[in-house]
Amino acid sequence: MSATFTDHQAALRDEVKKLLTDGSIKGFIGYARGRDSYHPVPAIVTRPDQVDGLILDQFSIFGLTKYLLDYIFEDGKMGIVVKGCDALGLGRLINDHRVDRNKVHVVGLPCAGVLNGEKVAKLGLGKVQRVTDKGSAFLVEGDKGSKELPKTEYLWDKCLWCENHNPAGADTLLGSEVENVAMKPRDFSDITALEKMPSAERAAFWTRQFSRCIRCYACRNVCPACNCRECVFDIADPRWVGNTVKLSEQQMFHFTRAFHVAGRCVDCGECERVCPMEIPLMKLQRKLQKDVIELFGNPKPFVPSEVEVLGQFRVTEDPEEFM
Amino acid sequence: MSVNEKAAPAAGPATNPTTATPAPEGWEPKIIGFACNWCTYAGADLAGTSRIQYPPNIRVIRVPCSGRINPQFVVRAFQRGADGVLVAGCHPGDCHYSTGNYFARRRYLLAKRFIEYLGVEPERLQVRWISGSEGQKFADTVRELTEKLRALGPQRRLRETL
Amino acid sequence: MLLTITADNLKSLLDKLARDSLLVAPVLEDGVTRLKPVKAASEIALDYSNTATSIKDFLFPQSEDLLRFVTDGTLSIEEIKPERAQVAFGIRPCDLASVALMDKVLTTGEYADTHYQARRKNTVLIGLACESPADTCFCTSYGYNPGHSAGADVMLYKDGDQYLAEALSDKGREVVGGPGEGLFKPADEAAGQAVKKAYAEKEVPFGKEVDVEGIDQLLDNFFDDQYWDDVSKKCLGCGTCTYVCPTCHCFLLTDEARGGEGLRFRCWDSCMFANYTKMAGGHNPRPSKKERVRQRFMHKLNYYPHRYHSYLCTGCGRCVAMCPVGLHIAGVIKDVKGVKAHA
Repeated sequence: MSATFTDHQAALRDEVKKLLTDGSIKGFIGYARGRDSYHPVPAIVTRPDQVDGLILDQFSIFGLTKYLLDYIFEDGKMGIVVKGCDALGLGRLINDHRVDRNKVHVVGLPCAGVLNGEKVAKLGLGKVQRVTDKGSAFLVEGDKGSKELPKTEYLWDKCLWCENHNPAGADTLLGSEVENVAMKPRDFSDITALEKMPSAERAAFWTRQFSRCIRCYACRNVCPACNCRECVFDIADPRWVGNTVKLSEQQMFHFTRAFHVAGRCVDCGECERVCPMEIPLMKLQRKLQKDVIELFGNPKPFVPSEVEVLGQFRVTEDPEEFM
Repeated sequence: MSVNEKAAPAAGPATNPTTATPAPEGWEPKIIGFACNWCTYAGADLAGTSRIQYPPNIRVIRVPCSGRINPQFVVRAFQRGADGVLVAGCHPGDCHYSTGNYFARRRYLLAKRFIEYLGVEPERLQVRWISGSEGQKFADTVRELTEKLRALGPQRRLRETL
Repeated sequence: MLLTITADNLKSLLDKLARDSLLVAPVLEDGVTRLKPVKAASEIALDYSNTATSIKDFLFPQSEDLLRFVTDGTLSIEEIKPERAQVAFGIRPCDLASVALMDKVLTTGEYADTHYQARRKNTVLIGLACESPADTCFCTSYGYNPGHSAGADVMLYKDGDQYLAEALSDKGREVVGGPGEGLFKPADEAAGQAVKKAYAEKEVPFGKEVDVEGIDQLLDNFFDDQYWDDVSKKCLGCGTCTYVCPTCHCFLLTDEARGGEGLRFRCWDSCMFANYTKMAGGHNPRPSKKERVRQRFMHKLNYYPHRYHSYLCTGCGRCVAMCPVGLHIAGVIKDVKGVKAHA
């Protein structure tokens, strides 16, 4: 049993107010209430009078780190609240030399798992009054009912195999660190199942998924690893991916997007979560992760390191299939 | 044979999800070959000067190094009508730039598995180390690939229609 | 005249329509209900509050081929005209209303969009009144309602285990009298009117929260307000809102050529993309998210109303549900009213 995010809300507001008032940061990236209790949204505040709009609750899933790119050419520091998974995204941006660590004030949020708002919203508990951590479950009390929700069922998938419950290297930590153990081992069985599918069936599966894509680029825009100064999809000449929504272009888009972050993806799952057409994008990302683990003996390719998997090699240990 | 299955059984006939309609009369597989300037291109040249016969189905594009070959080039080639793609460069240890082919090796180990995962037959993407003295290997590789593609039929899955 | 049709007869009608023309209907696929061409009524999913994407996909498609050209010494051009007849089934009142808004832009005034016009002419819209509006729906804010039928050729209202039907146009009457012959029965007028009234008065909870009254005028002097700086910071810069919106209609016209053959097509573009206003020399009059976000909402709530006397939004709630960062039109309306009230 550990403190919930809501328990840290007051401390966060105090901290942000202090930092904004004494001028050590010029803005803070956090969360605000969304359309209901289950969908908190990002919020960027720049004035102390806005700070009371900041919230923290157990549904705060959004990875905020990509917003830092909006401020890299400005003077002054930005503050940001990060969970363990978000800290990996921040690490990605820092290791890619896109964000200067000295220009960020990191408020760390130890995390025992984030509740899947999409799932919990369907339970009809109404406006959430209180969430309590009961160890293996969260007790969610709403104005229309209460329910104890087992973590294994109601957390986001990535939280179940998370091994980064405490954000590393935070400037301020909210509360104290939580126990850092994965609830279950990382599971690639869905990927293996897809691999084993007959080729024609698998082709049909991806055709169905990609033909839904509306090319809104939300997946790209939210991804901390998709941080190129100019994106290949935005360059008009040469035009690598056409604007039409033909299947061949959709495939080119998804192949390129997924492969560009191969070995650099931090497994935050934000691409899949923000996709308005619910394309299982993490099934692409996790296939690449799985292969990286198997082929290059890197057990944790999603933890940013100085040199990424495809930026290095081993002369004799790497598999040789092309002789 | 599937690259995604570690201990794959003896390869059966290649299944092609995209050849529900048979190949048109007189169809010939089209191969785009990306050849590194320092080894494979010289190897292809040697095959020619040695008068080694190989199928004329390949169109060679000379690139500085196998490390230059972005997997996007491969997908683009498929998009624009290639039935197969050959990516070829110096043997590991022989790279003119010392390390380019080692990076290419990692990249294509992944890319090959990934295109198969997306439903493209992995046989369509052939990666080979072919040195400047291996004219025969170049010819053999092209012949093998051409035969495989003939069995698979036209590549339609990634093909773009204008 | 009000009619009724049983669920089974409706299925036979849809099967007939799917055989004779292109039938577009809601289909549930991997957890997403969206409009898609179907070959049989059995593919249709009826358990949805609204489809993820709108009827816009079929009247103003995301990409549409306009002409083909060949240059081999001389230039020959072949125009591609959308001629195929299509029937769209299960269109919700908000989407029916959106068609009227699109019509104003694309078919009135000095220039009419010939491709859009052709598709409109070849499309029969079968509307389906909303049984259970979603918690993101706010059509009532704009004066529409769950039974709003304007724009439909045939309107259906689910009534127990059968449907109340009304043919509202010549195209609709052709469906009812043609493929629908013998499948419809006359309805009891008074009972039918009561059903329609019940739908029209159905409660839309979120609609009560969003008051659009006078928002167009409130925005007249709002262009330079600090609000746009504040609200746009969280925009992700993706195109979700504009692409799922049934009324957004900005597009891009491009040629693609291989050798001497080419194709001119148009595809949707989004004012949320930085490239949208980027000019050839590199100048961008809407350089940051602030200008882009402001443009979208000003267009919907101020520019368009000034020109066409209605809001360019029907309260379908797609942006409310799908914007990844909760930056949607209902929120902006509430915010602007709040800012103005405090000013």
